[in-house]
Amino acid sequence: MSDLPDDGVPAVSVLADPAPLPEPPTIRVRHLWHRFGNIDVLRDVTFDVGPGEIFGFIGPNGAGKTTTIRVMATLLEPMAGRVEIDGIDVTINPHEVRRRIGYMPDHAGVYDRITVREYLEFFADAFSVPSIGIVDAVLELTDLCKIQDRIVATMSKGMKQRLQLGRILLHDPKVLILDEPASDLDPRARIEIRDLLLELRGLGKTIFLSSHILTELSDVCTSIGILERGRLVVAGPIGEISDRLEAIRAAQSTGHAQPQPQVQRSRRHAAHGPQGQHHHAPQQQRAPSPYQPAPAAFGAPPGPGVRAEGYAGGVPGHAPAEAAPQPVPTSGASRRTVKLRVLGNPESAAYLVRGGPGILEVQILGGVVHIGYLGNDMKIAEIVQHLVRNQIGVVGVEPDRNELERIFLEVTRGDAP
Amino acid sequence: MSAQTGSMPPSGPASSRLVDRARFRVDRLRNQPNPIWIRELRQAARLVRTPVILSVACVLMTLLIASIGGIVSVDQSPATTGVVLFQVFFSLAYFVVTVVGPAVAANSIASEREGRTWEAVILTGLSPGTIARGKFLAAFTSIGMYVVMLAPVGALPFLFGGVTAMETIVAFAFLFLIALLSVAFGLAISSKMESLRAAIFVTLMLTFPITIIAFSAFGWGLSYAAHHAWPGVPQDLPIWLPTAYERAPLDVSYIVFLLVLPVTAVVLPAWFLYEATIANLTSMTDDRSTGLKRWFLVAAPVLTIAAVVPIFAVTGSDRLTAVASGLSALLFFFSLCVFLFQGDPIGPSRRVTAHWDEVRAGPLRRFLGPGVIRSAFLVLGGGVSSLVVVAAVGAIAMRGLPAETQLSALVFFGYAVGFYIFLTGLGTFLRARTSSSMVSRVLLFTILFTIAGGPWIVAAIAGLIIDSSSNEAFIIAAPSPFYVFVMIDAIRHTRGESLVFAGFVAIFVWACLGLLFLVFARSRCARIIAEHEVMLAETERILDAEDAAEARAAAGIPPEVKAEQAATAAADTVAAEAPAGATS
Repeated sequence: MSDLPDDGVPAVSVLADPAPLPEPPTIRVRHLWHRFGNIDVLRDVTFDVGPGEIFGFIGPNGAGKTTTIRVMATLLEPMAGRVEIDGIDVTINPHEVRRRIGYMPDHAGVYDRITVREYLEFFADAFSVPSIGIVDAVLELTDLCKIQDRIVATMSKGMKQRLQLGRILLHDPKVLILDEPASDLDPRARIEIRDLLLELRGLGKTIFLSSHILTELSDVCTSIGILERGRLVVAGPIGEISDRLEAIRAAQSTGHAQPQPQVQRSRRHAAHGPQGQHHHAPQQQRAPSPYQPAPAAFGAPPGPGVRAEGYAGGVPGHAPAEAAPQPVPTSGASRRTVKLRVLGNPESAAYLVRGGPGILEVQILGGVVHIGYLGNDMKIAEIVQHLVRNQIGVVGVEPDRNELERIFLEVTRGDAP
Repeated sequence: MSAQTGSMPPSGPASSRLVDRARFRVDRLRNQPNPIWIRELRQAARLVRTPVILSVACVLMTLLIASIGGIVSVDQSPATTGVVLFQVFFSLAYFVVTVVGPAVAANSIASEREGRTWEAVILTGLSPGTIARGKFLAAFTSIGMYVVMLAPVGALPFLFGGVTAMETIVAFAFLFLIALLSVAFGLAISSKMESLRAAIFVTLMLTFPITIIAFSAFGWGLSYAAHHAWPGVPQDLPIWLPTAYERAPLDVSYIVFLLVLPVTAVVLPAWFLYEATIANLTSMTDDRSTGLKRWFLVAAPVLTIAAVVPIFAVTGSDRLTAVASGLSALLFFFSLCVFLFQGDPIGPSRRVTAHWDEVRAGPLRRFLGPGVIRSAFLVLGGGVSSLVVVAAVGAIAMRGLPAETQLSALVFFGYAVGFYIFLTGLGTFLRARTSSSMVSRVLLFTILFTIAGGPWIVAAIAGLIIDSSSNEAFIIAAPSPFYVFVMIDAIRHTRGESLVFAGFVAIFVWACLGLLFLVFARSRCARIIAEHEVMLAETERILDAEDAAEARAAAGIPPEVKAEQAATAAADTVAAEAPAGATS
């Protein structure tokens, strides 16, 4: 990547012929601030979403997710900051942005006394879609062909959501912005929507998705951003965030981390501190608060704006040299639980595991062995190996929470906004 | 190709000739109909209750007309029966159209907001104007169906005699025009409301009194004036206008009062309601002011002319009444405009200024754009100019009349101008101080109400305390704008100079206060806008710095090196420019 010679002095050719830039992000949110009345609902929110990504936007109620989404959808002008969709500023040129996005609001309604086909035909006309064949293509893609003559009012919620997705695909947008697309849906409808999203991703769409249902997001998202009290506390590919947190836990368990009195705060920094920040720019400047000096969200001075760059340009290099040195945070013991289903008597398995290194608690509930332990996935592998070696057949291993849930619990405080 | 109708839109006008352009527009209307309209029609076609309601209304109206016709024809001639049926039918049709029209229209936009389909529509890229027109066409089609269904019943009186075919046709034409205004009114209310129930409630609450007052004033009330002007037009009959078109002689008054005035009376409110609807449908951060201000620029001179014409239509001392009425009507109109433009934001948003820069908007366009101070100057300038014109024309028309009459007109004008300046200044100040336009409107109305009524209450109490035979207690009421009538009375009866003097003091104080409020408001708005611009500039600076840093990182240049290079480059530039530059 770097054309710098060993001595670090740039050659002239560096300026004349720079290295090819990575593909620019499709969604770029930078230092976004917004205020309703006297409340800052968004505080210096910064993240990028690369082309073809499915970005999960997570946060408790009132965290500012919908406000962020409404700004991205050109429905709200931010008080400060810049949001670009496909390189176009949503504030300056909303009409161009609207051609490039498909926005499905939370709990969006549909017209009742109209058929599925008529509904899509109306929006095709409204979008000035040139060909009538587009409606047929969308009906096929969303699997609504069979019910195209059905009145919308008689459709299930899942089908209506599918229809909404069809609506936002009519003008072939590059970016789909979905606010809680699976809320109020039954399991089957959720699975259908999830499969549809994956199919859309296969078609090259960039999908920005907000949801409360973490398991659902973890199935489809390539990267996530977690928002709490108007501030982005972490953003990036799920695996990377998990690895960072894991590294911090490992450092803590081996005593490399300096103890800190404020455990919660340190955990948060772990997620977007210097180690976690992966960004092209050597040092991000903080945007000024338009109203007041930004108070540290959780008592400590907030780090540079979080920036997720998991796009196709490859994983950008970290910037350890430029980043200001910060103490490696410690957290309390990282307690996790795994559920094991074994052949034969679960008591035998419990006996073998109980008292082992890092094992905190072993319980048998409903014939399933619940093991509380300290450590990472390696520990699960060790436990299973130990049991198998002792002639205990392990037929099921189920971590109590998936990766995303763990990240969410670790980086958020859960305070009311 | 339109997905809804399957029709191909025309590619463009054949040439730039007016005929070709007009033909292109007609073709586009026919082959590329408003998508909102088509969708609403499809939805309405599936509403089972519509044909039932239409049939019931038609049957009831037929039975009513037949019954009245049967009763009247027993002891009246067929011609009289025809006139009675004509009046009854079109009076009922008027109320059906003016009540059902707004109610149907009120349902349209508010239901989209309540049903959470609104955002999907605006994100399609359809302009607020297209949406408003589609909604209007849908509601107008609906109400038009009522009129068409009732048309055979309405034609019955023509068979009896007493009314001509032309009168019936003109009456139906006016019914459609009234439907147009009614639907536009309902749509404007609906566009402001978030809830369907609230939209229908507010619409009907306003519709009933307006409908009854309009029917009484323009129907019965004007029938006497019409009969006075054209004796062939019967008086005391509310549906006189179609008859006037048939029976009035074609002269200047025919053109002015039967052609120009009705057209103006329909076009100006319809245009206002259209612009108000579009403004309500437009995002807060977009330009929602220009349309309304354009309307104001046209409406103000038109209404000024309308206020001036009656001054010449009367003679003698009636001219004072005509001047005072004209000034009062204009003051009322401009006061409403002050309330209307309270909805303007403090200044134009980034989006609007960027658009202005892009299209290289001129000073006039920018002046007509969003901004409290811009609106204040527009409304103040327009209002004061109109009042001055009416007063000047009145002064010319009243030459030769007694000095007291002329002084009375001058006093009326003075109070109107002084109080209007105060009203504009206060309105602007309140808008600059509050974050919500609704709050400033309520505050302004409360203060105005207090000023108008409060001094009279105090004056009444003071009158009880001091000598009841004296009028001096009225002086306390000088701040009320209605005090001008006390001043005129004092001038006419040449008594109570102190009453007149107090009035002049009030005029002076109101004008000074208004100007002071304007200065305060302007200063505050300028400060807010300047702070906002500084903040935006600072954000832009940081974002640009980040972009530059990112570019450096992408090129693999450490920031220190780049800084050194930049410093070197800057030094080189300075060195290179030094010989050519000024000695300074």
